[in-house]
Amino acid sequence: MSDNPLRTSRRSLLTATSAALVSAAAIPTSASAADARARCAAPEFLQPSAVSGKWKRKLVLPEHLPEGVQSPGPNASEETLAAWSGEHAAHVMKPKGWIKTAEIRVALQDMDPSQHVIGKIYRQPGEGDFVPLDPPIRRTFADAGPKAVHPCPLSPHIQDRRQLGIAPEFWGIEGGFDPQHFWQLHEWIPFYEVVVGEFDAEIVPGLKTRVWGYNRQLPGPTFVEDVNRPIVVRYINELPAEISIHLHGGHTPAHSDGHPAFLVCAGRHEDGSLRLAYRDYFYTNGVPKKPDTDPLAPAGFDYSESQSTMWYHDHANDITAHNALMGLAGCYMVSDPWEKFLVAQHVLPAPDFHNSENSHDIPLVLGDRCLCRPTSEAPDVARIHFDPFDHNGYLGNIPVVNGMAWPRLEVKSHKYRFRFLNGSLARVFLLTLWDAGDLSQLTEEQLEGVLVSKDEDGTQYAKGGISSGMTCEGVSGGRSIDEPGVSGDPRASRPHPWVRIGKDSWLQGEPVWDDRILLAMANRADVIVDFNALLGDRPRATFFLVNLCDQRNGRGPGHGDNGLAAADGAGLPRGGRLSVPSLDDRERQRLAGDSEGGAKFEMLKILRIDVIRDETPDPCINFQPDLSPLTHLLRTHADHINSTPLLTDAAPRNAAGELLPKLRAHDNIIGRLTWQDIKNLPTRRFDFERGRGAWRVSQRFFDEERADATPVLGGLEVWHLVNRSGGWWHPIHIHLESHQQIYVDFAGRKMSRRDVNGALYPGVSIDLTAEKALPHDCCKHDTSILGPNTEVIILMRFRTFRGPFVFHCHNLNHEDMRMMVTMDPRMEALGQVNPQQSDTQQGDRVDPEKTGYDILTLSTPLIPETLMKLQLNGHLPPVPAPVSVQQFFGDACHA
Amino acid sequence: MPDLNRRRLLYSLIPVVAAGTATADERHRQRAVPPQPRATDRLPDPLLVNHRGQSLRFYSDLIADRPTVISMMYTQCDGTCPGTSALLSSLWPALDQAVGRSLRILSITLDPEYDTPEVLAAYAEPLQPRNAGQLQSEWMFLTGRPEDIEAIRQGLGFTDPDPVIDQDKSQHAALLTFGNDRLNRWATMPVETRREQLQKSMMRILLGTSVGGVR
Repeated sequence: MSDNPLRTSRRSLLTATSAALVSAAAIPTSASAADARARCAAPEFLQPSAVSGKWKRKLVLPEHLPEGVQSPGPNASEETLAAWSGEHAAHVMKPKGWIKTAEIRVALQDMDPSQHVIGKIYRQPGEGDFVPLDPPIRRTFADAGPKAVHPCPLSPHIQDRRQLGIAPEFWGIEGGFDPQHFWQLHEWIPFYEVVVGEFDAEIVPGLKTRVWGYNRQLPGPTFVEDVNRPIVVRYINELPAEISIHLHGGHTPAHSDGHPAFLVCAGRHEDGSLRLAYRDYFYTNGVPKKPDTDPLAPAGFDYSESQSTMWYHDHANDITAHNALMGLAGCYMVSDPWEKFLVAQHVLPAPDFHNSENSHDIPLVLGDRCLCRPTSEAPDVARIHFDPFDHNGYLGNIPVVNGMAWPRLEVKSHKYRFRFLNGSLARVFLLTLWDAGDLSQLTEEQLEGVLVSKDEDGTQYAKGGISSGMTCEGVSGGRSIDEPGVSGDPRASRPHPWVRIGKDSWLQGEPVWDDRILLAMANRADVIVDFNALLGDRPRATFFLVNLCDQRNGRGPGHGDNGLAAADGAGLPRGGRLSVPSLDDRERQRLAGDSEGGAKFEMLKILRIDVIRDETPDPCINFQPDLSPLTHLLRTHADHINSTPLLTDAAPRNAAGELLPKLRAHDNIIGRLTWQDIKNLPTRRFDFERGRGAWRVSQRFFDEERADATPVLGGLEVWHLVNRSGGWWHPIHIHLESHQQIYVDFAGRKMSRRDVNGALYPGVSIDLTAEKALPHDCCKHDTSILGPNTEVIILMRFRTFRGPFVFHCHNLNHEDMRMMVTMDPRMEALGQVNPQQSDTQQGDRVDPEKTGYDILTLSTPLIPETLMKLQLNGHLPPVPAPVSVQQFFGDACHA
Repeated sequence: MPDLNRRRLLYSLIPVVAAGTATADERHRQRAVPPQPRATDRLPDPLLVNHRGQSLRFYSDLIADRPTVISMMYTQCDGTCPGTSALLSSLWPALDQAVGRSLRILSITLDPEYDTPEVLAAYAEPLQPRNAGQLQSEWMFLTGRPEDIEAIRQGLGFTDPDPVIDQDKSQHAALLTFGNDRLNRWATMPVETRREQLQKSMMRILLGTSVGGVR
């Protein structure tokens, strides 16, 4: 070794290097480069400005399920069924079979403890007797071997099967259904199958997105049903998560209402293999009896409760927000003979759900998504971003209509009925219709002028654009259509008016002219747009559906501050905190992509509507606000209406039995009562508030076994729904039946209806019914908006079905965090409900002995393992033989 | 010439050396790497210390590919934390039996300055159930640097949009967040929910489809 310092240093370098190599070899192999899977970087969000191809794709209407009534019955052969389905045989779902109505009652009583099966399914293969299909349906699962487990067995603790939420009017009826009862009108009812699975959809043009859907459609298939004709739907779950399907607005027994605890078990194992998991749902499509009518009487149905636009969606406990965001939602249209009459007489635009090209009745399911930017490994994949750790409200920056972002709808110059549905998790829409030309010339100041007006002292008022930071003195829609716009030109610079005919699930009594619709989550609005009038003399024109609601976070509309910062903490982006481009966001609008009608409103435009002049005449009549054409119609067709039984019952009439020129007659509950009477009704109060990082109602969290409301079946109650949670919006949805608002205090603005004597609520000066503003509509609601600092008093009836049901906030993140209440209508009052007292008591325990629903017991591993062992050994639980009503109910059976 | 070759050889080894001498942090980060994007991808992964003095990575060691139950507390809390701790103490044996040894119950402090590992150990001692020695899973009380704890708190959503409430420890979110990272299923429930409901939902979410029927 020389004493050359360089040589020495090199040697020491070599030594050090080899030492380092040795120590490197000692590092655990998982950290080596061989472990090539890199931890996923924080996903960047897909920005709307980065998307091209907007407005190019044609809007897709959700495919439908066929109308069972017109379809051939179970006697039809395969060829007849195929011919009836027509050219849409590939898309139209046929009934999988038929169920004998008379047997449903028996099956409900005898619900197979190993399967939630409503009844035997029949199919006639050819000539001869009806042949029952072998349960279970195995067609989807090639291996019904050891992995197939009986789905969702009943708790072994339930011995008495009357505890199944069977409607009380069936108690004591021998031999099956009362033949006069409404669902005995049909001897056979259709049985549908819906497979719930994963698939890839193209939400944003050119990019695939993994979504979940009913029948692998986004949105799910549209049911087109008749009032008083029940159906049975079997949902087969092929997802790796539990689901529960709720028909929103339906009058449905508790076991089929999509209670969050009545789950359809997950059908996909971790390794991707399938197992059998399904559940039958019995949708009555029915209406309750009129008040004070014997439930067993053959007549007396409250057809004012006939629904029109319902929807069905997921409702599973704790994971509803995720399931709904992944795409579990679909439309469910119901019509009664009266609405069919209105369509036939061209009062309402005609639907054609079999041939959507010709349909003048178009469902538009609105929503929003936040998508992740495609990565280099998967350049054509955009995943839905969902943050399960955000409990405030999920907002997306990409508006979606019928599962498509920025679609295009082509219409003729006729009248169209749009059925808007807000299917988002936490976004409130303020919908307006603009001519593209007007939109392009509008400056931001002018658009703000449409939304906002200023008082002399500078206080801002929201004109229909509800902003929680502003007072709501100027809340009024329903302006006269002659009122000039901002620039003084009556036609320019303002949205086009339309006629609103429906709120939530029901047609309104009268149509209302308006130029904007406030649609909170789960709200629906039926409107009629006359494109012929909008088109004028032009051969074609373009319109845009624009959302003018400025919303920055899950709290609700508003500029996001209101003194409460939308804190971003460590800078982690979160769905609920994603800042959405708005009127103030000039920078984003400058970056907007292809501009049609003005880049500045690029982010706010939801749907492009191209109107093309069509020379065929529009059969639909011209609406006048007083429905005078309808009056003429009624006089002309009075004999026909009065001689057709179902039409007779359903047609709107006054107390004297005279036909009323109304779209739907509503039983105005308060119209029979005074405010003093109302004070003496059973009263409950529910405060919707935030607590300890979660969401609660009256300081309690949702407990599926604790009923905080136990109304008497057939009774009427007054509920105070109070929201003093500091600027949060909570649309409250109550299952089972509609409710009517009688008093609203919207952020200090008090309105009430008039009682039988014409008096308003003491101290109130504004008549709710004369105030056509939304959300204070005067007809039925199933989802009432509680805005900031809002109190709403409602009247509600509880008919037909015992509990348990729920009511909850329809911000799905709030719903998951327990802003929900169990409601359990019962045969008799439990304890005293002091009408003077506004607070509920401790909360009654929902007891399987009394209330009649199958409580989910603790999922101890023991039970399913026992079942699996039985499966493996071939010992299946025996199917019990049918028993008569007498045997079943024993001494309790009495008429 | 030989010297030049040797130099070239040495220089060519530098990248290998550099890779070999990666910091301990990065080694730990590379350890748990899920192939699919997951809800937990954007959770921070700082080094925490549990009540037994062990240093562990928040995501890589405690959450990745595991069923986890997470809550945030502090030893000086006289509000909901005592109840939460008792609740977790009673739930732990049942969850351990159902879920197995991969389960981790994490109680992360909101007051890292006061709650040192020793303080946490003293707090944890009376909370251990009787058969804690036979349980295969672990319930850990964790602390760390204040900025790391704050990042975790933000990432898990234990926050309040109102900055006044958010900064007040005594009004902290009383939530139990639980999930299974491998199945990518998560849910959150308030601690004031009835114990049976909590247990039912936890079994469902943590076990996933391995439960034969949710009855």
